Amino acid sequence: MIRVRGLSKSFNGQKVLDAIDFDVATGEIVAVLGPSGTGKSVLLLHLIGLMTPDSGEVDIDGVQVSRLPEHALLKFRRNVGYLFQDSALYDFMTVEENLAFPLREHGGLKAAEIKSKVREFLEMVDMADAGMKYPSQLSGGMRKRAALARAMVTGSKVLLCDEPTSGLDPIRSRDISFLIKGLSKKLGCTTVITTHDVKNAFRCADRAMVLHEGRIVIDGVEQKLRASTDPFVKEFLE
Amino acid sequence: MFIVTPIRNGVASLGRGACFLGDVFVCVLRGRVRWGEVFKQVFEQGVRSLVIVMLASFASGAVLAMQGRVMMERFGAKEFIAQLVALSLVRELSPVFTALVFSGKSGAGMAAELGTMSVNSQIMATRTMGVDPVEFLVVPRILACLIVLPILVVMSELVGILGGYMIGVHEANVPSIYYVNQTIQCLGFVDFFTGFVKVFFFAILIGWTCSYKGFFTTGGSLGVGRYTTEAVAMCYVGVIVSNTILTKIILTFWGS
Repeated sequence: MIRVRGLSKSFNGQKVLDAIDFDVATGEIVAVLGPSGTGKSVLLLHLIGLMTPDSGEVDIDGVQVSRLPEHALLKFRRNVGYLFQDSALYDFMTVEENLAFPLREHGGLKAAEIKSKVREFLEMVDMADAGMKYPSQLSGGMRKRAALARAMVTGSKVLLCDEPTSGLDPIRSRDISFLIKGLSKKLGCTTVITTHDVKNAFRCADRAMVLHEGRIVIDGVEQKLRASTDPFVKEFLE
Repeated sequence: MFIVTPIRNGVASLGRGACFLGDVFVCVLRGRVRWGEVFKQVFEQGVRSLVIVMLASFASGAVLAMQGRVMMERFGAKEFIAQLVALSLVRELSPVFTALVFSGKSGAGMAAELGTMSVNSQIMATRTMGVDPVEFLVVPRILACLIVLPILVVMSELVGILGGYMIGVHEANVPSIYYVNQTIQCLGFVDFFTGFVKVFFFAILIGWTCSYKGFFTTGGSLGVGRYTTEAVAMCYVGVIVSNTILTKIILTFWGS
């Protein structure tokens, strides 16, 4: 479960996050919607402890993320999968090596087990034939799928996705959205997705919230958001 | 104000750089060294610079002998070409030339690789996977510099001396055996030692500067180009300035 309380962050005096509160239940998929530059990525970076809040707290499965020292954060992050907007696969490793990397780092698995786990996840994202390719040889959609597999291969129970559909065509966007939903539900992940892609957010999320001027202006299921009379929410969803 | 701001930024940057190098030392002292990655880097950095270092060294040895011949003949002392070439190369030219070439080839490569990883979020991704990027990406590169640069310098000295030998023997007509004997006799432990003190210092300087610049690159592909150029320029200036200071210190203690 993810609990965020009073989370605030400013850059050069400009408030990007302003006392944000929200919960994400275990196994739930929540989309954080908002136009570019509203602090969605900053929010995700706080959830994984890559940014320290000015005030407020982030609690993930009982761990106070915002209070952990760096060495404890490194350990904590092993239990969280993070899908980057630009995939962030290591370009000097093949897809298989990219997936094997976190498994090797976290130890405890033999080479054969790592290999079989990598194969299993590559099949899950429909990339069984692309394991020996380098990221530069893949299309944008394939890179996203490989990055998703790498984010989940360690069996993380929390998945954070930063703009998973950005830069993809509508068909690939739909596919990756369904893939995130399918994998999250299958593996029981608590998932937070930040996006400005309303259509695909509702395709995969159980619930969505809209971030505007550092605050969450609405939080609920699709019907509630669509029925909102808030001028910003209406304009954004349209 | 226009002077204060750059000075303040420079001091802040130096402080960040010192902390970065401190992190590297902490990793090494705690034994968090990935030797597999280190040897991969040794191979890459060595291969990158080898040919150009050999060419530059052969040419400098040869040019040194050509110029030396002209000077020495004026004083009727062309037999001393071997000493001139060997001592100049071992004490001064090979360490400095090799460090400069290494900065331009391997240092630039290192800064560009880390810079590209930085702007493509790969360094941040390393952190999100619970891995310390300094341990995984920086320590192996700096340790590889410490292994590769001394090897390159030894090779550079040998090839440089060979370049001098070719000119000395075939153009200045110094007898071959005499040239070889003079070279061996003139070189003492202190000559190699003084050269190697510099080499290890240059290796840390280049590894640190290029890794630091690459690691903190921002601004997309333009940023990669800018930071890489800055890294190489800083290495050049650092090598040349520190060489002057080190030479003064070395000559003070081991001048004879």
